[in-house]
Amino acid sequence: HEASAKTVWHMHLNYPAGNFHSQGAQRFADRVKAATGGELEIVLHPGSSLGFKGPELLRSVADGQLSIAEIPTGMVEGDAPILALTAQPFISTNNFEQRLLYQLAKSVYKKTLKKFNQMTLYTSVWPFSGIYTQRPIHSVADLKGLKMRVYDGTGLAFGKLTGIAARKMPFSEVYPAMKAGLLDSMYTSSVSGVDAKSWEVLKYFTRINILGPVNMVNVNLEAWNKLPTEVQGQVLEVATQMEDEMWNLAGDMDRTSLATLKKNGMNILEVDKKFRAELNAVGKKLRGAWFKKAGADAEAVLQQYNKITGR
Amino acid sequence: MSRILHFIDTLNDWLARGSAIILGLMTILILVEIGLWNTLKVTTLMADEYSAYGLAAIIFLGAGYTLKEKGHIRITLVLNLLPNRFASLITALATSGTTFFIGYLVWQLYRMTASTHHYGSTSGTLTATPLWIPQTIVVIGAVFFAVQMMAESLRAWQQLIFPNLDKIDP
Amino acid sequence: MDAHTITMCLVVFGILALTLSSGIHIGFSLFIVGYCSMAIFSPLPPGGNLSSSIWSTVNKWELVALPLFILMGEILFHSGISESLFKGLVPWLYRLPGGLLLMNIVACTFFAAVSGSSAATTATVGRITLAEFEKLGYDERLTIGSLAGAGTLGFLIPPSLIMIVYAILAEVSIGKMFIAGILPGFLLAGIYIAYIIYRGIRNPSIAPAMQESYSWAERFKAIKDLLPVIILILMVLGSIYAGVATPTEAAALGVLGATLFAFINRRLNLGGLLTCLVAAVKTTCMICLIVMGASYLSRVMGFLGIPSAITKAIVSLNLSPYLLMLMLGVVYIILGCILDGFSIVVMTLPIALPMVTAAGFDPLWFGIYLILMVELSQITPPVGFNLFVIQGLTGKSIGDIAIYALPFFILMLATTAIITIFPQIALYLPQLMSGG
Ligand code: NA
Ligand code: NA
Repeated sequence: HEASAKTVWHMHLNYPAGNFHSQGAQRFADRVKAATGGELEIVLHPGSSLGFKGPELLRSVADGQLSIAEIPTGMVEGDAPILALTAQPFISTNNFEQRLLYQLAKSVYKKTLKKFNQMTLYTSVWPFSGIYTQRPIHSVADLKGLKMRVYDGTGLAFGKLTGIAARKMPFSEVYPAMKAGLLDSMYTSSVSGVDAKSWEVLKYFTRINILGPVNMVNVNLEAWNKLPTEVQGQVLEVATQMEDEMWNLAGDMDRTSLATLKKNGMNILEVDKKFRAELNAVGKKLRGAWFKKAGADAEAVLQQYNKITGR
Repeated sequence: MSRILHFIDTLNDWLARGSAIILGLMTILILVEIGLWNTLKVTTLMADEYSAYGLAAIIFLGAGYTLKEKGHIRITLVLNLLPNRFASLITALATSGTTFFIGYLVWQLYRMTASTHHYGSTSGTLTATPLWIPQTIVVIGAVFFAVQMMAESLRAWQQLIFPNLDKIDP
Repeated sequence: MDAHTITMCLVVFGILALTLSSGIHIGFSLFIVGYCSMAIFSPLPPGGNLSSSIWSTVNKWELVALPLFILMGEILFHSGISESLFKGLVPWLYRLPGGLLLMNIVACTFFAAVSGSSAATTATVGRITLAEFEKLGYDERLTIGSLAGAGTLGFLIPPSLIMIVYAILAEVSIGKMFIAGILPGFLLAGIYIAYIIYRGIRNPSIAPAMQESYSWAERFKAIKDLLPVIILILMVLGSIYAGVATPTEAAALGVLGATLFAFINRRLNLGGLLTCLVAAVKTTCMICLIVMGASYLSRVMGFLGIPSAITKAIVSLNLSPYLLMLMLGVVYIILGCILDGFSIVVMTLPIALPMVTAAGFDPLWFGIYLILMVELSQITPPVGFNLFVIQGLTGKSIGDIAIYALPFFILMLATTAIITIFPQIALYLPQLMSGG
């Protein structure tokens, strides 16, 4: 019989157990257990095995249906548009900008999450998403005519603007669709490209760095407040350490995944200055609609961000 | 009494027809999506999203009708082994209990929908559909499902208390 | 397994037995079991989880193919295609022992190649064949049993919804996973066919002899009657493989094709179409109420940690590879009694997969093994979706249908054993694909 004095949190994870985010969460759970002397145990449920869907996570944690969950910021746009800030297309295109943007957005995120009765323990990031194609891509004009799988509204809007025939499709239907020629391209990270064994159906990976979204590990505030202050301190200490580790890990994962892609015959294409400028212009247009929903807070963060980066 | 029960039956017949029409529209929407993609390489931007709402609506709007038509499955193996009167009693209790449970379900679904409305949650897709709209359809379907279950439960009590009623008033 | 888990299992099975035997609808029995177990054993809110679980289950694109394939079956039934399918197959099959019973297997194999789920395969083929068999006076046990068994091919023969889920979770290629299912799928269909022929030889009365006899010329003429079905299959399968539609969208093309044939044959007007739509709604509602109950119960089981506790208990036994698969099989069959296939896969995989690969099995092979376990769960009571579909079609009790399906359950177990001993059956084609 488990000792009843200790607290158990059930944690939803969006990705399979083998994904580096899930493995990170496992280390987090292990360290929390050790640091709190078994006072707090976090049980992981990877691969969305509890049946929660991405866009519903903010509310599920708010309502206390889940004590803790890993929430991709880009997925909860329908509940809180501002959280999708770090998941906007081409808003940050390298690791420095990615980190800076999140640091600037942190306080606004905190305020928003409080409305949803939760707070972030630590964040992690995805390596930037590029596009996987059959033919080489060197400019925005080259994008025209691609039949691309996307997974969200951002992707659809990106397609509309650049002449890509974009369509939303669950990851599960992508492979047969590529094989059959229903689609000929997709955008995702180097890591997911390796997971999907993309070289079996596609030839080029162009690092346009459209997105490098942040994932939040959020805890329900009632569950949090029930912990003794001392345990809270121990958890926060582990969480701070996790955040650094996960952000660095994303860079490492990107490098090893790129190597794996290359080893399996994928051609990796970099983006030159001219192409980058074109993409930045596309990004600016794309953010227009989102800005209206996201409000003044988003405006303020972005102004500060543009000032520092000189964009 | 029997007129009320008849009214409830008719009501759910109509909801089922509504459900059927949604299924038809959903099929057409998907066909349009296939057509557009294969000819013009454009998408409706919403076929998948709205078909999924359609499915949710179909399931709940058709639930009462399915119950009335004895489409929802139950295991009667044990009941058949019991003496008639006792089996009737259990059926009456079970349907009442289930009615109570669906009532609770309606309340929970209503709470979810109210909270969706409160937070102003949208689909987060390009359509930015307010989610309380499809959820309200689900709640409405669940209400009439509960009403039909109540009717079944009344019939079960009627059967228990007046087992010969059928013979008197067909 | 610790005492706490055993208590939880007893409570779950106890309440389930009570609600099911008192005649509460299966979907609600699952809801109630889930609700009570969560209220007793978990501090988390059972009510909020109830509504959110229902919403995520019903608002799902992947599930949309289900009503569409059911609708296709309804329209085919009214279109006269079912009769011409019979007319076309009779000259070819009437002389074989077991006769037209083989149609269940052959037709399910075809439709499995069209649809991604077992329930839809069973519903479509059952809608076409069962009424005809009854008219012809075939043995009910075998007609129903073979339909229940062969209907499960929907998951084993690609496209397959469960395989996609497995491939994503196990991080294997979806394409290879699909290919790996082909030979085991044909093996299982072949074993079913052999069994029916064997039964037909032992007791010819299970399939009443036909009066007429057919010449080869008549046989080839009969192909004309098969043409509509073949065109339909080409339309659905072809659209997937030619890149015209996704597997879910292809279901809508199937509906379109069936409707066109029905209108051409003048067997359907708008009123008839509405009747088909209402009938499809009824079957969809029936299946989805149970799907909702099963998803909620699965979520609760996940919160309580029951599936992982059971799998962990087996790991701790340190068994030899074959014994491990045997033991896992027993657990999967038990879990399969009350959980749906998707839940079985997602809940046990994180623990089962590492242990199976450590024992030296290929993840692709384990995928096929797991699909077979999921297929078994489709025909075991109390929660078996093929049983429900067939009950919806025939009105027979779940218990009877499960008993009729038992021989096919055993044949499926035998297939699993064959594939365990000869893993190459699953692995040969995928290895060809990657060039060794
Ligand atoms: Na299939
Ligand atoms: Na079962």
